[in-house]
Amino acid sequence: MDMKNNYEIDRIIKQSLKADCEPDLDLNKDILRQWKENDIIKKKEKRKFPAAAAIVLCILAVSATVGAAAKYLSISELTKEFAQPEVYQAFQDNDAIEVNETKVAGDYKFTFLGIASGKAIVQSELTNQLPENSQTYAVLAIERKDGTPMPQISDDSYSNLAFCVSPLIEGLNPMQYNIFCMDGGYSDCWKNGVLYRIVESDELQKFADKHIYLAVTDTDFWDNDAFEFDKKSGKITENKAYDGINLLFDIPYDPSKADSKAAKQYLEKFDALYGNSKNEETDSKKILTVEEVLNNKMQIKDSVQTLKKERNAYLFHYTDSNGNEKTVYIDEDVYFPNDKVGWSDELTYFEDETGISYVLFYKQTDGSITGYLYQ
Amino acid sequence: VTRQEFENLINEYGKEIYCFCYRLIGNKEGADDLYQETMLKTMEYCSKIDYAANPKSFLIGIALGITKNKRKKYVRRQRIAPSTPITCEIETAFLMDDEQSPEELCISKETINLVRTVTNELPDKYRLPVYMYYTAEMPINDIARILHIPTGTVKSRLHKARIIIKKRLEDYGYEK
Repeated sequence: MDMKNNYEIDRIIKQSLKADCEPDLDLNKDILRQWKENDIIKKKEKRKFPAAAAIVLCILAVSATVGAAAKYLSISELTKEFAQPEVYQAFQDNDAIEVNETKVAGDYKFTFLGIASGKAIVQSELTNQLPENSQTYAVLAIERKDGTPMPQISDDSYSNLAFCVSPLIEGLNPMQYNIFCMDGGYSDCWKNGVLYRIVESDELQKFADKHIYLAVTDTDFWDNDAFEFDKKSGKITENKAYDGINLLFDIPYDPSKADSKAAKQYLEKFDALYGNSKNEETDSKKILTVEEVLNNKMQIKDSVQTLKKERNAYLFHYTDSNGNEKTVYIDEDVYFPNDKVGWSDELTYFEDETGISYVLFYKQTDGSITGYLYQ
Repeated sequence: VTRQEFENLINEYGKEIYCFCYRLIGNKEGADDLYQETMLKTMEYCSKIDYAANPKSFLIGIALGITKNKRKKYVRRQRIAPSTPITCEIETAFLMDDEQSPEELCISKETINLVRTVTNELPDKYRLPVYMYYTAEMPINDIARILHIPTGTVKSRLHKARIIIKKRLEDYGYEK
């Protein structure tokens, strides 16, 4: 295999990873069958109940609410019954905080029961080891506003629920610093119609001198539109225009428990792991857009050539600073989607001793493609 | 959304979504589960899909969200019984290309296996954009939106991933 240049590796990866497998026919049939069943259920749910039945339902709903309040589990009971011993132990510690704050949004009532830090129980995805430092565990109770019970974990309808619960830290952009990057995880458990979520993340108390939030959305994944981040003040707020649940609870840490040195070290490690380092930002900035290349870089006149098509790719040839002949392969569908003409929005770049060089492509109305090298 | 529209969605994007799930999870059983869950989740969001934009990116975003939310479960299962290493069933059009000699075919199979293994071993920050770009063939802008990172960072990560993969291939004795 010839790997003389970066474009060859691009071609090899493309060939190796392209979508070459497909779902079994039976799997698709099964999905369509479930779609049909789901559609029938939805139609049934929309049906209006007769007035007499509605009254009975109201009485049942009130009874359920009273019943649920009486059966509400304490964190201690909850973690003893459902969580691992490390989590139960964390909430027995003196630093554990009981919050018991309730907020209502959409069809649900969310009660932030409390937060604690303790031994890590889940391997870090990045290091495949148990984190040396402790983790933070937060417990949230989720109920239906109308008192009807939440689906049990074993119910099919449980899989239709979507909640994302994430700690956020004042001054750190939620887009980059959320549960998905903080070695996060959660487990759900159900008792007496209430769904409890135990959320875990990297230890948070070290940031206790900042405003720390517990954010809740009704999405599977972190939705950056749900909250607003003020880069100047570092404050995070609920986006009032957001279409969906977007709650923020305050985590009432004692500021004296903050550990600025540990916080700094954590952020340095975090940035290194997730590519937020200054180096990568510099790398990102180094790669110019097509417009920037056209405005700021010099076109190498000898490089201009009409691309020849070989098999499924167009080929652009050039010679690098060491005198090696190289070839760029481009896929017309990627560079000129939807019969686009003019400058492609995509570009190819490579780096050698002389710096970064860019190859830009222009498609004429007759379909011919011209390549240009810029340095 | 009618059954026909939903069926069209599966027909048009099912293959790429399934393959993305397969690459992400690494085995057929897991890929089947994730694909099915993604498609069923899509039912709920059908009204939110912008057909004029890129429904495929929307579906990939759902698959990714499901995977990430299940991360803990997956990690725990791994601790109890490590999941089977990826075994690749290579029956690609690429390999069936008449223009390749048997020798080239052999090299291609080996290379493909190696690239898939090496890619799967990459940290998520590189692995995810690579699968989104090369397997799901998503535009950079859509990858950036779903991963909540700037487009420049996506490009930078893809660039670094290529370098890592190239280096690993060279380590295995491929020509520099």
